[in-house]
Amino acid sequence: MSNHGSEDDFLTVLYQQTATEKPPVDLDQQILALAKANHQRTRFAMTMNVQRVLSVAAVMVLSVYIFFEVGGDRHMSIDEDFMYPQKSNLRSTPAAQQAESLDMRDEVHAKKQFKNKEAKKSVERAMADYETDAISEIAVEAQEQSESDMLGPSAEFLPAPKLMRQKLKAERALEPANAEAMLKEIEQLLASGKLARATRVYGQLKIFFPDYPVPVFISDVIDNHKN
Amino acid sequence: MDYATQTDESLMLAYAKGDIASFEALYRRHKDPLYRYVVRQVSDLDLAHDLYQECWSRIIKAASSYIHDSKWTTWAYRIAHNLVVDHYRAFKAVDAEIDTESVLHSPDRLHEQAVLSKQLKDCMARLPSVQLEVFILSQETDLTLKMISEVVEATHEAVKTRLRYARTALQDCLAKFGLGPNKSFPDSGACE
Repeated sequence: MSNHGSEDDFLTVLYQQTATEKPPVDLDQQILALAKANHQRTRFAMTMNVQRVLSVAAVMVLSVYIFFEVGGDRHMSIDEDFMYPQKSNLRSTPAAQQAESLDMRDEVHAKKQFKNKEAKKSVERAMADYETDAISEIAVEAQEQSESDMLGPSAEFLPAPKLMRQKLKAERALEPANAEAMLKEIEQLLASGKLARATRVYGQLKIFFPDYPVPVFISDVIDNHKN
Repeated sequence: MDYATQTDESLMLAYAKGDIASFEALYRRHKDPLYRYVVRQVSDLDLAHDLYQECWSRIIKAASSYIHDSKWTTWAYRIAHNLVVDHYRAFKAVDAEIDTESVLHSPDRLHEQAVLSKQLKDCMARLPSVQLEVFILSQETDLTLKMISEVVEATHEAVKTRLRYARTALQDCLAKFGLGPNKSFPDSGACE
């Protein structure tokens, strides 16, 4: 055994004596540079991952914010379900769901009706304003007419409010069917110097066809007359 | 941080976390044995260099996924083993005759480190590749036979047998040069 052990020692010593090979310096440098590059790449990838996660998180937060803030009352029931899921589970039978959807539909319908009522009221307000303006304009028109007849302005010749209203109604009954005809009428009235009447028809045009494009010179003349 | 006292595994994990100095310490510790492991099995030096670099490249790339479930040396030499197997073993000559005459008649054969080295290398070159690999691993690393068996993907008994055959073959080969435990051994008092 001792002989066998000495043989092993002999081989080991001989091997260690001859184990002088070393990697070339340039190979060392290449490998260390590779390690550094890989380290930087890994760090860059980690940074990118963090940025990606942050971006997704920011988008999610923004989406949730928009969902709850901009959606407003419309999403109240959804909000409630999100906050109290057990509550929604309790009423998740088909009948309950149907009732819930009907409730929601009614709510939406009521909101729409409310909005329509609001719109109707605003139109009515605009019409009343217009009517008041129109009456005063008819008075002015009558005054113009009397002036043109070489008569001085006198309260005697001014039409009574009742008459004025009747005249306005009569005018409304003859309302032109389209904006183009109204515009033509305004042009004719302006040409004939009937500014008050033209202003009234212009007001009607703006109420019935608010989006219809009116030439700038007409709107300028009307505005000047109003002022 | 004292890198000299750190284990290979902790250095590797530190590198995976971004400590480049840990890798440098690990590289300095293992570069020579790993280099010899490759070079002494691959006769073509350029190919050996390529394999050595590729080995470290794989170690570097695998750093982020390195798991400390086995000894780092076992893991690293396993990578080197696979590379050598893939690139070299197909054309390894095993049965070549030893040209002992040119060495024996060299005028300063017993006094030259280079000659001694050449003798051992010649003898090692005649070993079957599986025996040579096991012998180099036993000399270059502190791996146990069980760990070596994990590296070379063989059974413990097979590794033990390969190592025994390798030693016997090397002793027989060196004896032809007049070298052995009971014979003259230049520049070393241990084997006189």
